[in-house]
Amino acid sequence: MLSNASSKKIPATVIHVHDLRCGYRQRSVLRGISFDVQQGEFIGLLGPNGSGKTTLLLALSGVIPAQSGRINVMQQPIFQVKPKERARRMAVVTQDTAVHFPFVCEEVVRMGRYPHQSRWQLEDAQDAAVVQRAMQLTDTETLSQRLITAISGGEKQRVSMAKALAQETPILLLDEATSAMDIHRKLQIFRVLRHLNQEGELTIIAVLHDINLAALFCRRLMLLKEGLLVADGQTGRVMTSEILQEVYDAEVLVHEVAETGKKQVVFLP
Amino acid sequence: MGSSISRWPNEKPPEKSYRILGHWFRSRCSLGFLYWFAALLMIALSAFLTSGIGSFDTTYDVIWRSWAAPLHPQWAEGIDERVRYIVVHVRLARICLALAVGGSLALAGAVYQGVLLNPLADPFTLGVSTGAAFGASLYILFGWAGGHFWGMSSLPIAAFLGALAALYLVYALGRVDGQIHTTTLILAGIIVSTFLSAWIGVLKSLNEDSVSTIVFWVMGSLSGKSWGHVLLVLPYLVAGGAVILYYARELDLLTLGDVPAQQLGVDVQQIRFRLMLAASLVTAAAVSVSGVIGFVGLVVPHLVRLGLGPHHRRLLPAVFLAGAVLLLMSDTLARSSLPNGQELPVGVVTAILGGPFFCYLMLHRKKYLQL
Amino acid sequence: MRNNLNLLTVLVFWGAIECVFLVPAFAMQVSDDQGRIISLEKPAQRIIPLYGAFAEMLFAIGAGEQVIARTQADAFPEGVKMLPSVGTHMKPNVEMIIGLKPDLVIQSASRREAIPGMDSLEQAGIPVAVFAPRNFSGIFATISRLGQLTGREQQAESLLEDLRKRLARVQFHLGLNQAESVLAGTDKRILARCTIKRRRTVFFEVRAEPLTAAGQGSMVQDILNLAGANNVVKSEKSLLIYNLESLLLSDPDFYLVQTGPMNRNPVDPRKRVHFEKLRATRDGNVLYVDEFLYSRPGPRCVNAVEQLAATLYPECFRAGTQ
Repeated sequence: MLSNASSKKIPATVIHVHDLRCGYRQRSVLRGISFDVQQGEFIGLLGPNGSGKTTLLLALSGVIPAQSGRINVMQQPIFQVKPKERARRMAVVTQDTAVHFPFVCEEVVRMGRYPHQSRWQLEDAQDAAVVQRAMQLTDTETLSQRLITAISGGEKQRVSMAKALAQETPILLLDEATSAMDIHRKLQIFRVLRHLNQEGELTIIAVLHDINLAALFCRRLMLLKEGLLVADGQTGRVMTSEILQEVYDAEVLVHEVAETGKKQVVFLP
Repeated sequence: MGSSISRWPNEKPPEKSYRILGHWFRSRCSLGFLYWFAALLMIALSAFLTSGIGSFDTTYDVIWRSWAAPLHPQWAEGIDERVRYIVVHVRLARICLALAVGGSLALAGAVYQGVLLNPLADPFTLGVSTGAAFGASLYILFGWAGGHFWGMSSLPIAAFLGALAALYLVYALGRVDGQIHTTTLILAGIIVSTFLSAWIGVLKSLNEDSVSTIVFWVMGSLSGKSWGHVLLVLPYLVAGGAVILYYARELDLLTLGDVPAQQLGVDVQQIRFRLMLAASLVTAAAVSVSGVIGFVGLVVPHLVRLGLGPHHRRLLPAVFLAGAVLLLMSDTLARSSLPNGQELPVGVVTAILGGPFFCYLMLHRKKYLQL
Repeated sequence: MRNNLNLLTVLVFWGAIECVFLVPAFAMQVSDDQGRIISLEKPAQRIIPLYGAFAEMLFAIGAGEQVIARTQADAFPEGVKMLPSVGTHMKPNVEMIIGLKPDLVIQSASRREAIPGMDSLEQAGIPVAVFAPRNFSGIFATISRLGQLTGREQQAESLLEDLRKRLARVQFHLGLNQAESVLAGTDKRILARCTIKRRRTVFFEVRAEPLTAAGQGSMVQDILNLAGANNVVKSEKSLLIYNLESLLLSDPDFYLVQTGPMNRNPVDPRKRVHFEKLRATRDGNVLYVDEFLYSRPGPRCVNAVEQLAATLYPECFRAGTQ
């Protein structure tokens, strides 16, 4: 167990990716990507459609195998980690949250406890407490007895987020996880994430389309284009009009907003 | 390392005292026991009640004493030996077979619907029934009927082998890059079914006089079955049922879809394969003794899910019980509703009972069916 | 208006004249079992019977040479096997039939299914007679009408007389005096040599899977009846799927298993589960009988009666009686 003092230590590398090539069938979507993620980072993964963001998250979470290269999660090659252990190390919230069966939302969140439960162990008080906490954080307590099939897309994404938080993992991967939420909810969720990131040293990698949202919360940005990592660095350094123009093939202006001290992007019509 | 790293801000450590047995026992076991007790009682009661119905009338007193005779031989005194034989070896065996087959089909249906994420999936989606029917048709046509064991015709064996062959074909066709995808699997099931149906058609045309036997076999019947048939189904039901219950929680997660389930730590490929194999074998064993009995595996899981929700640990036992009781009722109707000792095919009765219910689902619960 | 009426009158008259002059042109008119009149100018010379029983009847009345084709399953009598096959009873091949240029097609309507292709035969100008014998009087009536259609009334009548005599002889042996309509014309004042005390009860298995019984409406019923047996199945249907419980309860004296296309290689009842409780299996009273004799309403049904009566009541048929 890490004490509070540990936050001052040199952070450990939780994800190590080296020369990763990966894709579907013969086609490589990712064409050689290398990066390291330290514990406690909050990374925004940006790039145009088809640049390989989702593929990268799927590879990181062990869903699709690497064609070549290496992915280590907590100093261990991902394919050596058993599925349950993998799910104790990282949780993923995907954009598509369709649930085909009429579970009540609380049951869906409870599924997040699966990697922590042994086969014959039923849910105990700790599980219940974690689930409750996850639902508090995502403000889904009022939904707890509603059917997952009967709530809106934004609500589903919050439930999905709660499920991932209930996994109590040190790493959280988000793939457009707030795309269906209104701006108020988005900010609310990202504030919670920032809080968990700063206080709980939760490592977050978030795929985002909204560059400005990324600029507000992420401390590091990684920009993908055509399967290659084009830019990787502190948000302030990567958010330049040159880099963004190159990645998105669009004219952009980057302004620093005085009130927040954060850079924001304006696209030119 | 795991979970402690990401302890959330201001989180109180869970109260350890709360975790002791008492809480767990109170919240799970007592309710669970009650639930099981009530369910078993219901099964026993329905078995008892239905065994009083049939082509000859007896009193419940006679039935009770016949059942209890192995424990206490004096109780059976004064009961005609023929009546006792019918009550215990014909009727009770048939009732037990109906319970086992109904439970098997419903359980397998629930698994298929959960794994294939398809509300229209039933135990026969993967061609098990057509495979069994094909095996049975071959057997009937070529008349290898001299073969028998335990006094039973070996037709169930032929049907079982047919079902296994069909399953093997479906899995072989449904694999893409060494992985099993649900849509390709369903497609493979349809292709194999259609192909085998065509061959059944050929077999029927080759021998018109066997058509009735094949047709009636396909409509399903529990007539003339014995304890031997129950013993034939039971090992598959027990083993398959155990596997299915063992993975009940994984079934919940699988309903979220492949990728989310994998990301929650489920070894999707492996567990899905085991679940489907277990469900398929249970179905194959049931089909091979009873013929193709439709609607139980399709309707019962939906019905129970409407009442209890989709949580599989709760759902599966209830689905098993409901399927068992439904088929028992249907079979009782099949064997008693016509006069002069005539029988209806039980598959017809389940379809007649199940059809209107499915219409209701379609009309009023479109949202539930995700249509 | 008036013109129209005149025209109508002319037409009606013409029709009447047509009837009067044309109808006598037909040498024979026979009404089939669907109530239709089959009219032939001369006895049929190229006949295709689409059901084996009719082929048997035709051969039995000496009209075998007028039969030009058979269906797949027909194998009796020997002569029929030489003929070309035109499909099966349920699915006759209309093209082949028309190609053989028959002047009469005989089909059976004993099956409830609509018989395909019969309309196209009639449109091609080929008369189709439909007979549905379901008991001895039906068989006899069919034979006599086939005699008319083939111009062999004499042979048909002598065959019928022979068959009736043989049935009567069985009745005589058993000391029964029944089924008068069937035996009409024979000497009813025969004296019983051996009066059976109790009619034996019989179950007739049409099919083993699913267990299918012959009911009171079947050809088998008439055979059982004339052979002095009582069918334990009381349903009015001809075929019915039967409940094992009812079989065990009725516990017949004899268990008859027919073997043939409908019941291929049935498992020996003595080896079937539950059947060992039947008196018939315990006492060795299981009889295998030929489907073609019992379930096919042809002349050989009389053989079935003789055979069954002799097996059920050997005491009445000892050597020397008669």
